[in-house]
Amino acid sequence: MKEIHIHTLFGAALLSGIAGIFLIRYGISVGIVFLWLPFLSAANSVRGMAKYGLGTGNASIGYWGTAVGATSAFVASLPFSCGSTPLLYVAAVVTISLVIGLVTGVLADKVIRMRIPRIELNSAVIAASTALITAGFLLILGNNYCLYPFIYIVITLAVLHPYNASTGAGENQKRTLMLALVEACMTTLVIGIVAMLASGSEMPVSDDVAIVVVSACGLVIAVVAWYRLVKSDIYEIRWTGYSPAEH
Amino acid sequence: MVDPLIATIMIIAGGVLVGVCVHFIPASATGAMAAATGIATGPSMLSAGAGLTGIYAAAYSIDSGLALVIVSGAVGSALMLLLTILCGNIMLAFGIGAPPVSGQTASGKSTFSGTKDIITGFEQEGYASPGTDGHGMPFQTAVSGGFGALMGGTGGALVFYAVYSITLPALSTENAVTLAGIVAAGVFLINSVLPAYVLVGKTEGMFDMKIRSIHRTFISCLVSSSLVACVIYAVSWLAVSGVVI
Amino acid sequence: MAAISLLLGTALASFLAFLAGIFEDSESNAGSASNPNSQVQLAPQIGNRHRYFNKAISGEPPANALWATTAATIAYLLTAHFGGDAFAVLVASIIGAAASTLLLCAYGVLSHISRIASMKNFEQTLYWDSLLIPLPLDAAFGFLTALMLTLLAFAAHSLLGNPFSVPLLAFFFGITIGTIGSSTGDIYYGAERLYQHYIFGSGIPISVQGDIDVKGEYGYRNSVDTPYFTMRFGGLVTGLAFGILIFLDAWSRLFIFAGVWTSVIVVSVLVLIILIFIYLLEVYTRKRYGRYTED
Repeated sequence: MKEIHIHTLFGAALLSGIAGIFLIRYGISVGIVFLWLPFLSAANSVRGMAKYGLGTGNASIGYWGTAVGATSAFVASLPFSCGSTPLLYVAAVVTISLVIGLVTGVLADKVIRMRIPRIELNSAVIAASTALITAGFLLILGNNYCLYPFIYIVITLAVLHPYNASTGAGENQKRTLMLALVEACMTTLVIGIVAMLASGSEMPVSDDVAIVVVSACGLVIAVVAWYRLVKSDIYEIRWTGYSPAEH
Repeated sequence: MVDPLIATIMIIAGGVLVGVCVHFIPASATGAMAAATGIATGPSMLSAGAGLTGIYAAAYSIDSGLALVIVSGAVGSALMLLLTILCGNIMLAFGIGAPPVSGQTASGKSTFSGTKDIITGFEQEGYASPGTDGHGMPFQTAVSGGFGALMGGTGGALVFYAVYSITLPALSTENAVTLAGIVAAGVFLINSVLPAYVLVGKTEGMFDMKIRSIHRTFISCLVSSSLVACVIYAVSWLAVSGVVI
Repeated sequence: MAAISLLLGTALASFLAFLAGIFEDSESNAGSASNPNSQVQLAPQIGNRHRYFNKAISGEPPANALWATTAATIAYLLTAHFGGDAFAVLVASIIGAAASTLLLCAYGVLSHISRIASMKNFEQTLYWDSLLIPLPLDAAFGFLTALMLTLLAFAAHSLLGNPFSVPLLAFFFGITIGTIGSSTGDIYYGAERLYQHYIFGSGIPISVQGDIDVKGEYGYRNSVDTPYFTMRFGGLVTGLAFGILIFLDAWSRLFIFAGVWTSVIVVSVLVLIILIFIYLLEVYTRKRYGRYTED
């Protein structure tokens, strides 16, 4: 099957992420659905970098890319208060993370000589996608500094897990990206629950309940679609049994 | 409190120290099967763990001045790493049944030629299980690891204190501390993964031949830390001067 | 008054840290995780079809950071709802740990299924019972780890006086305990339990990696058979490492003979003592085991 090109996925993720941030800023919390595509593009780039079997592990690439993206978003959130224009905020976040991601990719290629093809592109994509996701989550959860470590680690795991879990000889991009969609829905579900708790009011705010409901529906659909792909790829599924004699 | 410009230089210095310290800490992923010398984790995760313990220890003294923050971060980090080495060697000696031996030194390929441990003079050849590249943490790697952890803890504490000083005028104290902590952790994680690519997953500390590639790590961490430091400086200058965009 | 809370904090924090270490190592062995999982992943490629729970979430530091931070964040937010005193902290921590356990189960199930789905060429079958039988054990250990780390973060913040907020402390503790657990406990799992049919007394050569035990004491082994073995040694040494670390760090702050520099002096002396212990252990091991011999 044909693979989705990195540029296409990143372009779509950029547009979708910006649309999502605009929707969230103007009060429509369901815009978080548009943040699912940046998860896919980040997981795709982790796959692009980790496929060459470096010896450093998928986990390192995942949390390194998220560190660049999320730190840019956290630092950029300092002067921009909630009353500011979202366009300027998004532009600042995306620019900073793209620049740092690109420079780190160039360093990894020219100075450290890692010999991975297209590493600059991949590292810039991971940085920018995770920065977009972090910016969106920050707008939903408000400026509570105690929630920053949670946002950072939950995005890290959602981005590094799809390729790490699907590693093997029979890995293909479609199933990995579908797993990334499952985890994106799980992440936004957890963020919705934390937003309900962090809002400080007695009854859950209707916006946050909407996020939880939409994420749950997305999760069910994505899991069914992913499992269909698993059933077509797997060797055999049985309830129990003994392995046949070793060959 | 320090002047914002000096704080920016501190962030750059801290980032470089963090990157360079990964070369000194012995680590190998296959150590978990007792097939290679070094602590049984990947180098980048190990340095991140040691450095974050240093930042945790340094936070207790945040009100007592720069010198105390740096030194307490350094020794906190060294304590964590040496305890890990001691307990790893206990596990190897009594659970697996093998002595700690440096595989590179045993085959004569370490930085100083010869097959003896540099510091204790113990003979390494013949003690490694055949087919493995050594196992455990012999004394020269432990000393190298302690030194590396001191550097890593210093770097993390420097970044933490610098970001705290820069953001303190714009935020309340406890918010500034938390933001400084998470930004320091982020800078740590960015800089500790770059040398992992130079080391290709395994190193024996400063007596490994891979120490000769340390200039590559130095340059990469210098450039990326400078970028991050400039961004932090610019953003905080905007925040402190009250410009709300 | 300040001294009492420091003493109580030191004792409580070290106790919680010790337990957290034991549970973290057992959780990473109930579902094969991190570095030794590379052996479980390698086994079907050389023909050893197995029935282990191949839980390949990520390395242990970020995974433990996720469970601890999720539990601590939810607990921190709920404590304010429940009134903010000690009982509120306990109840909120239990709820937070339960929420993070659900996340652990989800990630674990997804990892096992997708890893086996990528092994079509090596004819590894997905057995539902080898996934569903260790899963409650793994979830239980994960719940206890998250609970201990959350309570430890609360103790460090309020009793020991660390200025970081509770979720950030839980993040740091999660990464630290993942690093320590991966460096000490995983050696016992990876080199001893997975390779028990190789005689005690050597490391595992690269040439035989992947030739793990597929059969156990009676019948085929699955991942429930691992924690009861590794907890006897690996889990306790991991708990010892993390517990002693938190204890020494907090205990050094109880001394006040030299003003603010006291704790640094005490910790430096301790670092030198530990170096001496490493040297003595190496001397003992070399004398006892000697050179490698073929018998």
